[in-house]
Amino acid sequence: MSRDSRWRLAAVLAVMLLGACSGMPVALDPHGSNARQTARIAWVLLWGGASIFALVMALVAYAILESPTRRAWLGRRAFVIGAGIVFPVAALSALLFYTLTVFGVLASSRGAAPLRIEIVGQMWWWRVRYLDADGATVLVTANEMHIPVGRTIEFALESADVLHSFWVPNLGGKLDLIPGRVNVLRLDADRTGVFRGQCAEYCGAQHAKMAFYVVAHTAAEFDAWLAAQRLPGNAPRTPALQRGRALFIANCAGCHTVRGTAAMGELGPDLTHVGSRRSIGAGALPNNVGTIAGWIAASQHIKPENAMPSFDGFSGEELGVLAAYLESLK
Amino acid sequence: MTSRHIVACGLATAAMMLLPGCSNETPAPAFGTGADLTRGAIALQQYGCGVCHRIPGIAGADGIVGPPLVDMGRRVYIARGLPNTPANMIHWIRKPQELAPRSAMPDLQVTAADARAMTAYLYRSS
Amino acid sequence: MRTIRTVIILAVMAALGGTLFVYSGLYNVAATVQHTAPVYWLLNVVMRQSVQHRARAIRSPPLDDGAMIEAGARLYRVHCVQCHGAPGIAPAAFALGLMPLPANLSLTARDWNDPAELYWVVKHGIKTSGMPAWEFRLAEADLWAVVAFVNVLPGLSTHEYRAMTARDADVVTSVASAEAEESDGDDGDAARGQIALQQYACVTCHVIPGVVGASFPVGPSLAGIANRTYLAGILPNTRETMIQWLRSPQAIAPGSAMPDLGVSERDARDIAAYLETLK
Repeated sequence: MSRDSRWRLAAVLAVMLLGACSGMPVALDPHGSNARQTARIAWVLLWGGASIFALVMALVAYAILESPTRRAWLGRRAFVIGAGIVFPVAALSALLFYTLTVFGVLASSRGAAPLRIEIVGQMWWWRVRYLDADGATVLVTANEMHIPVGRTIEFALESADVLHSFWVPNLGGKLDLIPGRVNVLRLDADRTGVFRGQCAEYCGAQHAKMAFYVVAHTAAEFDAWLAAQRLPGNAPRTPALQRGRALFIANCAGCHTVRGTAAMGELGPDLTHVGSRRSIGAGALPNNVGTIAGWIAASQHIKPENAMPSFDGFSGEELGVLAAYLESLK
Repeated sequence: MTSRHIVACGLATAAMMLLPGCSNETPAPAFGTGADLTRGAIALQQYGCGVCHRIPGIAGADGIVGPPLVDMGRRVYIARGLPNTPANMIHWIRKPQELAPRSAMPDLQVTAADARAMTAYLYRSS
Repeated sequence: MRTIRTVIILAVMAALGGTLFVYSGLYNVAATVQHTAPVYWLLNVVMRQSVQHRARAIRSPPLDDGAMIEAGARLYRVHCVQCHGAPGIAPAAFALGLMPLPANLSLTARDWNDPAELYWVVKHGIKTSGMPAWEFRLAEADLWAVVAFVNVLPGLSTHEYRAMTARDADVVTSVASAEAEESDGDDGDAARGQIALQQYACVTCHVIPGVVGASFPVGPSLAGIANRTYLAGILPNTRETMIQWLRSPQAIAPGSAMPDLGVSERDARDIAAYLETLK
């Protein structure tokens, strides 16, 4: 290895290790048992591989530098077979056994009944359904999942169109959303906080703007959140907000749902509590009355070819009250 | 005269011609500190201004809903005939609905410090 | 000897070429056709340098006296607004046909650092530009009063200007209605619209791609206007609303610095067609 590439490798490793210190979505910063197991496999592979590499390099050095008589034993058949066949088979078998065991643990359900969330990936957003133990729908939302800390969450992953992949690096590994199939991913969070996830399988031009947030709460906070989300959308309290709702019903009800109003469209994300989300456009934009307005007026410019057309015919005032109404749906 | 002389004379003439042209335009008003510039760039991103406006130097700020925020330091008027002063710019950012009630520009409850920082950034970028 | 001969031959060729160019009428002096960019730049630089050089010995008196500024505002209203316009007020129809267009003075006052230069221009005028000399028609004190007023122009909003000049009886109405040239609702001629932009003085306030000398950022840039969602933040941007906006901005956004220019329907349609090419 040349001197330059050695320094580069050291720098890369340093950055990776340092990245584990922050809360950024780095796979080496685990906050769930799935991520922890996966990270452990990664470290085992790294250090195990590094040690074997060091050993082999030492033997190579010995083979080159030592006097012919002292190094002759390296050429003996017993050593070649032992170190070249038996050792690798044993090491790799051990590794295989270890990783299969871990995967088995990850794939099995354990402990108390998991919280079931169904995720349907669409181009380019996430339909989210909370299910109860019998599989009935408890809550429909989009692009953001809230979970209680310490409890296993069972994500049932499906796709409505093309391949997507569900990845929350802080909590676990990726699992694809495959059309025509349900994949089950079990994750849990060991602390409260906000974890960013994203689509990890190229699914079209806006694949890079298909992200989501997983928010972990304490059990009490989660119950409160769920109860609030199950309520219908806030009724508009001022004349301006009422105008906004009227505009919403007239223009948006064909594709979107706001429970408690006449809007029951299901082509696009459920907007009943859109004002409470951290982002809009599936993680593409921060969420405030301005970005909501900008999305409505020019969504095709922000995420070209997404299923929502740009609604650029509203007057400035109409756009303002419509966005204000949506922002009030907390 | 060698060709080198001719080229040198030509370049000198061109330089003399171009230099006076440099001083014709007002530089942007010096406003805000260096820290304001950094904070302003962050604030513009965090409030999502780039969703509607094209803003130089802010990643992803290429919106087409409103006018581009280029050369704000040299503009004479901002929004609805307001002369372009730092105070007016800050007022506009914080309370657009007061100054232009039917405008699509929303009231994002921008704090005074954030508005000041955004103004500093907009004036210095072009 | 050879060098001298070469120089003489080149000089004769240059003279012949120049004479041919001048007498053939090849150069278009129409005010409806833009200068080429190099000619425009040359004229501008020569003018600025000349004014700067000749004004450097002049010391301006204090210009922040309120009475002086008010007197300047009255004089401006009587003598200057017809060509230069004012915040929210258009120049008179004849001024829109000038080349070069009379500058928007809010920008000039801000970009020209020395009030003595403004005084020099007001006093002596500028050759071949249409800016008259006022030396023989205004007293010294009046000249400086006008400069004092122009100096505060960049900070004046439309409302403030109207308030300052409302008291006088001799209101100069500067907007002449254009001939009602009705178009037949067709798509509009973008090439004609580019000329119309000059004739309505749009270039004195907006940066417009494709138009020489349209680099004054008084109002927002028109680059990319074809794709912009809103006009003045109020109207969704369609061809018809653009035509409405061009024809009556004060009705749509009162207080805007953009004046009513008496744009005819046909001209508005053509300008809109040109603006639709600015993607």
